[in-house]
Amino acid sequence: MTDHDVIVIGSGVVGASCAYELALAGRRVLVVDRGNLTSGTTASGEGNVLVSDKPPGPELDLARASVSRWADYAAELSEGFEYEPKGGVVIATDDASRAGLVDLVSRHRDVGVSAQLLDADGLREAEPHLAHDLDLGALYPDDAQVQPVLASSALLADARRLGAEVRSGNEVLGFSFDSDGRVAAVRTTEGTFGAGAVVNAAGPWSSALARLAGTDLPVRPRRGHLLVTAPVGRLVHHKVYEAGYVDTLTADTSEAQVSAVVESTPSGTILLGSSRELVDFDTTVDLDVVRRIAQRARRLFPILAEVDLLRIYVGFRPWVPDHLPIIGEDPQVRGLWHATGHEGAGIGLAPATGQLIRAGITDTPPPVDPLPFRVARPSLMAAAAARTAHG
Amino acid sequence: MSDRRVPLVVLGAGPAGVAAARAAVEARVAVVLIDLGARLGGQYHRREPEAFATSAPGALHHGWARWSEDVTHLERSPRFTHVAGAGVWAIQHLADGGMRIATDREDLPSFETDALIIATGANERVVPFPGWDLPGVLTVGGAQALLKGQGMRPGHAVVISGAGPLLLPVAAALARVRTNIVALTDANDPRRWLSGSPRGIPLSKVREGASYLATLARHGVRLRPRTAAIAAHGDGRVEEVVLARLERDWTPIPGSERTVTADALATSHGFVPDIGVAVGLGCLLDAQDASAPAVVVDRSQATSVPGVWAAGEVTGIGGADVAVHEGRVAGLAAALMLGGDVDEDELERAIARRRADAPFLRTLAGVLTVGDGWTSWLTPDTTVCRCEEVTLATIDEAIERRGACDLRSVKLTTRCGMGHCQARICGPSVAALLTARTGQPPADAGALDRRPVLHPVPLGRL
Ligand SMILES: Cc1cc2nc3c(=O)[nH]c(=O)nc-3n(C[C@H](O)[C@H](O)[C@H](O)COP(=O)(O)OP(=O)(O)OC[C@H]3O[C@@H](n4cnc5c(N)ncnc54)[C@H](O)[C@@H]3O)c2cc1C
Ligand SMILES: Cc1cc2nc3c(=O)[nH]c(=O)nc-3n(C[C@H](O)[C@H](O)[C@H](O)COP(=O)(O)OP(=O)(O)OC[C@H]3O[C@@H](n4cnc5c(N)ncnc54)[C@H](O)[C@@H]3O)c2cc1C
Repeated sequence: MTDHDVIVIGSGVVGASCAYELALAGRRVLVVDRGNLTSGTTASGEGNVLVSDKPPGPELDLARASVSRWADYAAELSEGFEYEPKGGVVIATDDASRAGLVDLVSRHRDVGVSAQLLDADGLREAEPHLAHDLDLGALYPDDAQVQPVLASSALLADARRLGAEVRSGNEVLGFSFDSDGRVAAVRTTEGTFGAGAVVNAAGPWSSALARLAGTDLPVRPRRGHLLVTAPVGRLVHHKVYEAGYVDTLTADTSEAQVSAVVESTPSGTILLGSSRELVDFDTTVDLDVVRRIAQRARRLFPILAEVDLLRIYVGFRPWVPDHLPIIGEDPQVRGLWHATGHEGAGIGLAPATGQLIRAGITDTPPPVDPLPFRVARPSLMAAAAARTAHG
Repeated sequence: MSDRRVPLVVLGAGPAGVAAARAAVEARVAVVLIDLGARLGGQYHRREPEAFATSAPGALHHGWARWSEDVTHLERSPRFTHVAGAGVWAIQHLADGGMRIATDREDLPSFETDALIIATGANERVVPFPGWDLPGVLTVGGAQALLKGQGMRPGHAVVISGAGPLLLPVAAALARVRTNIVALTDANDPRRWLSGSPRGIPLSKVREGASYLATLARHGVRLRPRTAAIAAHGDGRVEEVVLARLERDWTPIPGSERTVTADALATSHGFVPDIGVAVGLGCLLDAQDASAPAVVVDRSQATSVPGVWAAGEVTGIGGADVAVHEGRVAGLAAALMLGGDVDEDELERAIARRRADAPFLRTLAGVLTVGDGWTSWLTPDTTVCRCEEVTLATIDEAIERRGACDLRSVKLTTRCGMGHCQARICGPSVAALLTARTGQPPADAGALDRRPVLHPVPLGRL
């Protein structure tokens, strides 16, 4: 009954990359998504591919592998996805972030990441519309940008050309196991599909998926708002964000953390982020958060006051307590692989994630050391234990 | 941010919103009526009273008198506040069951309210065809506004083409100021509605229609049924319009094409409810026609969301009279819930009055049908979304090559509907094209009407 070698659950950017990489390796892949294709978190993300916001460590390694893989995708996929290797500019807006930025740049340079401090003139040259009182920043030439939905649909389109099957409107309801307890099939609203391996790429819903398989993942939704302006042309040339943004990444509160992240897109709109709150799947637009994002963005680019706000997206980043993606086979349910927990960096980290899953399933050399991302790592176990203790 | 808390907000000051506000105020409930426009009136009463009275004496006079009475009564009430020139750009549910309403007026940035009546009306629908994005092509309502507002004709030689009851009054008004109307065509056959008295059409409407036709006849203009402008050509602006006779479903009859010289083309094909606010609040939609979803309401105009009512075109196209009937029901029902002074018999009488409109609405629906055959007017390079310049070929590519099979995926992969009008113009076309290409209506009808930003607002105003 096994029509497929691998079933990928989720057609977000992570599922799409896993599907493409596995199809490249000759695996017969089925992608199922309960909603429309790529309509989850990926459809409300910004599409930054960043090394600049990741301190040296395993996530930076994954990011650097992904940056180079995104460049491959741009060259080899049949459909385009607005890939722009345009670089990032990080800006210190207060004294605390000045010291932090100088330190981060030197640590990045130590591990070979290109980074360069910018003074007031350097900032003005890089971004003419920046507020005049800003006088310290850093340029990261390797930061890039993609349009997440186009990127995912391009990956899925080529996966299909390589023989993969993609089904939307198909919700996973449960799993079946063989006599050894290995995953053997996936039960969905459209029928049961057998496969030798299953990849859980359900983003912020991946813990619900894990529960269906009788296991546990500490992934939770971390809500974010994204503002889109009317098309105004290239006011902003790089991906520009406040150095304080890096701190909001690890501040795990239900109260909204806001810091400015600003960039132009090829269609002439400007994207303004970002907020982070642990408030479950609540799609309500919070007008206070919207205001705070607009204010912080105007702090960097005063010219934005005149620009029209046109759209707002609300999305749910797949958050994990130790802030590292979960990529690997479940130690309790053999044949079930997780590719999730990328929080606010899933677009950037998707390619190397797909490569890691491909390497794991096909037993070939991985692009980076997979160990730090494994499901049963001490930092996650500790979080799980703490959760249990608190009831 | 300092929010004023008010018991009831009515959004939209057209016939429905004004009738709702009046009913609520009479029931001693304080009402804030918010509208983009400077004056009460919405789409219907946008024109000045003089023009209104002279356009078709008799029947319309009557409507005007009732309207003036409503307005006078309202404006005198101490319980009534008109927030004019205010675009509502966002509405947010609050934890206490209320709603926060954000406007683009700097002095009145936001309100909190316990109850809301949505009376946002409808937008004109325009079906695309080759050349519809040329300068010189405008909507029929646009031609009307140009004439009433600035006393201007859209051109020297004008084609008026489309579908629905808006064509006649605008053509008659243009004829009266001696515009050269090259052709007046309706893609449907409105003769049934205009001759005799089809079911449910009030005599006043038949007379109104007949008076427009008489005016047109005096100026030598004849309405051609089952005919449409299926293309416009020109170098930099409209110079020629291709007219074709149509099958019942709007497929052009081969060999019937005829090219006329014209420097303006006024075109629209009925109306689409402006459901953005309702979608944002989570109101249930009737998407039987995926191109023009409407807000579902019960007998007292309540939507599926507690504390939210809807009245007028937003619940389905019915014209100004039906909008008034619905507005009154909604105003009374909301007032009743808010503890106002409402006689339940009075509410029942208002509901019965609205019910009596049913046969008229069925007939109207027939006149407003948009035939599926228009999709065959398009060529691959025809623009479908004007704001983002997305062509039919790009949409087809998204459907065929990227597997987009719902509205949201088409939007996210082609940018269709992401521009300034936020899919108000192209949304219905995309829904119809998807239905034609995939053989079934998109599962996410209404998705393009999900606009967290209801209309553009400068970031400096936030
Ligand atoms: C405001 C905002 C800005 C962001 N900006 C960036 C950025 O600039 N750069 C960056 O790298 N990242 C960014 N992110 C994060 C990024 O969007 C996510 O990390 C990434 O999209 C996660 O992708 P995914 O494929 O894991 O999940 P998703 O895209 O959510 O995909 C999961 C899929 O699984 C499906 N699914 C769920 N349950 C089931 C089931 N039972 N059966 C079948 N299917 C199911 C869902 O329908 C969904 O399509 C941002 C996020 C937000 C919210
Ligand atoms: C262009 C046009 C021309 C028409 N001409 C004729 C005609 O000649 N004869 C005829 O019989 N009928 C005509 N109609 C139809 C007639 O106008 C309607 O039947 C009638 O106005 C419906 O009333 P309503 O109260 O439902 O909505 P409307 O009268 O449309 O009122 C809706 C109001 O809501 C306001 N609004 C919507 N969203 C917001 C927001 N976010 N913030 C603030 N305000 C908002 C709008 O500004 C508008 O004033 C026309 C309709 C249109 C669209």
